[in-house]
Amino acid sequence: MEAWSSLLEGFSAAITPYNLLFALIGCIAGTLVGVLPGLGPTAAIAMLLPLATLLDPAPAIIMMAAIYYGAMYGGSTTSILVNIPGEASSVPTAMEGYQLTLQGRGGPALGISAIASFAAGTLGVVGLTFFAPVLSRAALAFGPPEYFALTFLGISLVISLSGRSLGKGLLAALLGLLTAMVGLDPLTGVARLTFGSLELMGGIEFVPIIMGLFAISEILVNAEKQTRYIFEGKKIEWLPTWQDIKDTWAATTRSGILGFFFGLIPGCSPAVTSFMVYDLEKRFSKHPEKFGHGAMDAVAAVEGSNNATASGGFVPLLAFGIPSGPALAVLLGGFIMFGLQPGPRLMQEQPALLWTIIASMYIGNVILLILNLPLVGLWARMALVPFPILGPMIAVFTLIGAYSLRYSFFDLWIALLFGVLGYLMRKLEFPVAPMVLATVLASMMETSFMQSMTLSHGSLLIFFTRPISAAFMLLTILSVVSGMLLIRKARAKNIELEDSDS
Amino acid sequence: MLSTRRSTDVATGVFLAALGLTAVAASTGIDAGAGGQLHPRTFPMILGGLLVIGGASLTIQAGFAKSGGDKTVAWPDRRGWKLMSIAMAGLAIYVALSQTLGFIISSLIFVPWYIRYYGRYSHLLAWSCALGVAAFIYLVFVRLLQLTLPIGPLSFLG
Repeated sequence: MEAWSSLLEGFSAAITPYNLLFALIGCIAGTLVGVLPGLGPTAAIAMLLPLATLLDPAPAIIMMAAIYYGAMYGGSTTSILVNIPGEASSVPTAMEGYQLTLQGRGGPALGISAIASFAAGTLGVVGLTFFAPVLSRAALAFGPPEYFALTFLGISLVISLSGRSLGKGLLAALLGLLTAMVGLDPLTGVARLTFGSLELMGGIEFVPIIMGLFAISEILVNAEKQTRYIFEGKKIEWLPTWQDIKDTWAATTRSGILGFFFGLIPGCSPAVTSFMVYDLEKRFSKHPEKFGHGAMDAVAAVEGSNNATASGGFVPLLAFGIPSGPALAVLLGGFIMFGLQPGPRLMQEQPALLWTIIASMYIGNVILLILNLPLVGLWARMALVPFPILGPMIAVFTLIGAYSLRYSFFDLWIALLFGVLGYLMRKLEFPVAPMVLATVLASMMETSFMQSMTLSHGSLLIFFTRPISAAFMLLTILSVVSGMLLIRKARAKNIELEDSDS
Repeated sequence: MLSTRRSTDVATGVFLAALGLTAVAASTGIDAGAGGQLHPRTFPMILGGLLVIGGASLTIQAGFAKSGGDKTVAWPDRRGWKLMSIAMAGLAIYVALSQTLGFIISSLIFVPWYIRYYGRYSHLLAWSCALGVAAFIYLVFVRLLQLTLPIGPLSFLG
């Protein structure tokens, strides 16, 4: 009851034209950086921090929060239309959404993505409104063994999705993990696998890897075939049908709930949520055969989970001052800039500000839906642009995105190298997804493993004696066993399993 | 040569095993560092070892597979190879040029070349697109988002 009245007061403050204006600016900036490959919300919030200093705390934080969740909306656009996932969490969207674009259904996929983002994002804000203090305590139960078990589960789920290419999926994951080992050891700072190269000392960033594996290899494949249009048909659909919405609402709800819970875990990459949700939807879908060939419910689930994770991330931030990712760490910097320290004291001392920010997130989600749905038709027309015109633009914006991460030309050469690798992986039927997720999670996996070993004095039993970690390990074993059984069953019946890689 | 699934899998397995072996060999030279329960070489060495085993398994499995090995790999024909290689070379030249000429001028060269070579569109269309891309880079990336992109001789615009 108390939450309701506080929320209403928050709405009355958030709905003032001044606060609405900055929510709108944040949403537009977030959507823009989300659409541009490589540019994440972290950079966008950091860029707008100087502007934020000129404002009052409420509009400034409303704007920065809107950039954060706005970027989640925009991230799906290039993934669906041109197969460029700007972030690792958008990789499953690219795998399914691009296939829908090739079928002339890019518009409906973008529409479903916006609707799922709105619905699941709002679901996440509801969770933030009513359950924040209770859930944030549960999230703190996550220690190094739980993080290791979670990353292990994430990678095993993606490998098990490789269908008949299970062995190749495993090899792709190993290659991804090994790639991420290049650079400085995260705990001791010792150089590893750098072969004396200064550039390699900085490690290999996963964004140029993703850009290469998806965007550059896409350009190479289309150059080889001299593709005229990515969508060869004449008729293109602009908006989702009611049937699309009906078919995807359950996936959106499930992913919204799951995404919110994963968002609570500090440091948990949104990529884990995306891939887990994708895996779960494939297992529970009424038509798993569509996965890998354009499954609308997969797009809804992944995009929904992204936005719910973004909302969930505000729980540990507001309740304890713990940012669950780099973007929220910059946002925390925004709070501190105004002399505010998120945590229990902020909840007691500045409840009006806190509830204004929470209420603005409901409004922000509506603004983003209104902004994004009319743009769907415009974006979907991209499929009608001839590939010889679209291709060089994809290359230029992808490479600039990869460069802007560390302002390093080395990252561009890495993107090109992985472009060739991605091209070969397509030809040799190696799934790309396990490699991407392994690269993203390698650092967290290794660090949490090392820390767990220190905690347990070198005993591996620590992963099986703590309840949450043991549950994740059990799920890992089940996913591997079920994946192997599925292959055996298919081989026995001489049925080809569908590949899930793009 | 490397036209069937069997032969490519055998070759890929050998390549991955060799890569794993290189990683294992390189891992032996990793310093101990200070602190930590495990040596910094632990993970790279384990992963390298697993890659050797995985690569060898792929080679053996492909070599002895009873079915599916004769499936052909969708390699491009001679013309396809040429088109793909030229695209790759174009991208590499674009990256190399960007280091000295900056992204705007390099894009003004790369975009119209690609459009003309792969699409055979008119000069007018190709150059219009190139100017649009260059303007977008300058207005959005340089001015609006304030990214410190190299712009070479155009640095007076920054």
